[in-house]
Amino acid sequence: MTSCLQEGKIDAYLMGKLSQAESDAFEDHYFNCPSCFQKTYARNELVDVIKYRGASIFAPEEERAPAVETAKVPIWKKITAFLSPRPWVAVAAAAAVLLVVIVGVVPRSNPSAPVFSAIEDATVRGASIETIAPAGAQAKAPAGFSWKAVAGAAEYGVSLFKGSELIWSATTAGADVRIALPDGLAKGFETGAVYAWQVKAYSAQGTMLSASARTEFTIAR
Amino acid sequence: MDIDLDRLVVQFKPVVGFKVRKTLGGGNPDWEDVTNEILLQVIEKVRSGEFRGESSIGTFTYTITSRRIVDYIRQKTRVLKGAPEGGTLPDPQEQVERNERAERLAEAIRGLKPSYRDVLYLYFYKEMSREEVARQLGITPTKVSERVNYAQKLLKKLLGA
Repeated sequence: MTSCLQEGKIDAYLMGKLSQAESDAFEDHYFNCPSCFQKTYARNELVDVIKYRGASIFAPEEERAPAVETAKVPIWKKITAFLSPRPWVAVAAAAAVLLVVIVGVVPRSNPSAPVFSAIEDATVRGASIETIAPAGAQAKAPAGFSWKAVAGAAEYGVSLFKGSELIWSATTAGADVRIALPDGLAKGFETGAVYAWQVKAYSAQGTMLSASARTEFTIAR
Repeated sequence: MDIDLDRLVVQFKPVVGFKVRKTLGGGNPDWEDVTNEILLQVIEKVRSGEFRGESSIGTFTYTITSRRIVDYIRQKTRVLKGAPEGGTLPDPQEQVERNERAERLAEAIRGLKPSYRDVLYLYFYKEMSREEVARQLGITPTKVSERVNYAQKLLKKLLGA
């Protein structure tokens, strides 16, 4: 399929970013250009799905996971709910005493409980990733970020914030445990401003395995 | 003007259909009728010699398409202003199939690697420019386009279409 100079307008047209006159001109164009029509037609489905289902597609995994976990009712609550009616108060008290005795005496043979870590306003399954550098006051702008490896991670995503505003994010090539900052960005750090960065680990299937807390750093004046 | 009408229909039916659906909305049950009416009008005008080749056949078809869509919208507006119309419902089977395909595509996007999902998220969902996405991800604008195009190819392959 040949390429056409008008191809650059396809996304703007589909996302409604063209003026009415530009949009009309582009439509006239794709009625005359089979290559642009094919590409517009193919791209339209993707744009439509993201437009109408984007909120659910891109809802961060860390927001969905706790909702599932909190929906589960712990067994002890089920037991107490069953025994809570007044006629059963005595039985409940006796059972509670018995339970305390059993828990205290019987050795714990359960497998280890799942680990959760808290990151700003959410909780994610998996231990928190330990960040290495930068952290705290820095003499000069960092050249990159480094952290400790997570078992099973195929890729890491790093986000950089100035205050609470996301200013940069990138993913590693493979399971590297460090990532370099682009030159332009490294030169743009303001002295005295508070920056924070966070790293998230992903499996080969793209599922988030764990995340670090946001690590703050500043550049000395 | 010697024009192969069969070829004309084969060439323009998808283009006209796309424009009609895009303007009237995919759920509008009349889109197919409107598309067929437009193609009939084009054929009649070519046959009657109304198309004299002053513009391309594409532009000629586009002009008829735009006018017919405007007429359809005016007609519907008049109906709405007057008595309420029963209206036809969208074909439920077609609707179900479209929803299923959209859900499969959404699932496939969820399963993409973060490097591709990030680009789709920022570029299409957050509606950032290529340059803004490039700055945010620390890659070149060309790389942004490459990732979008590759993600699209990957999704097409995953959907088997």
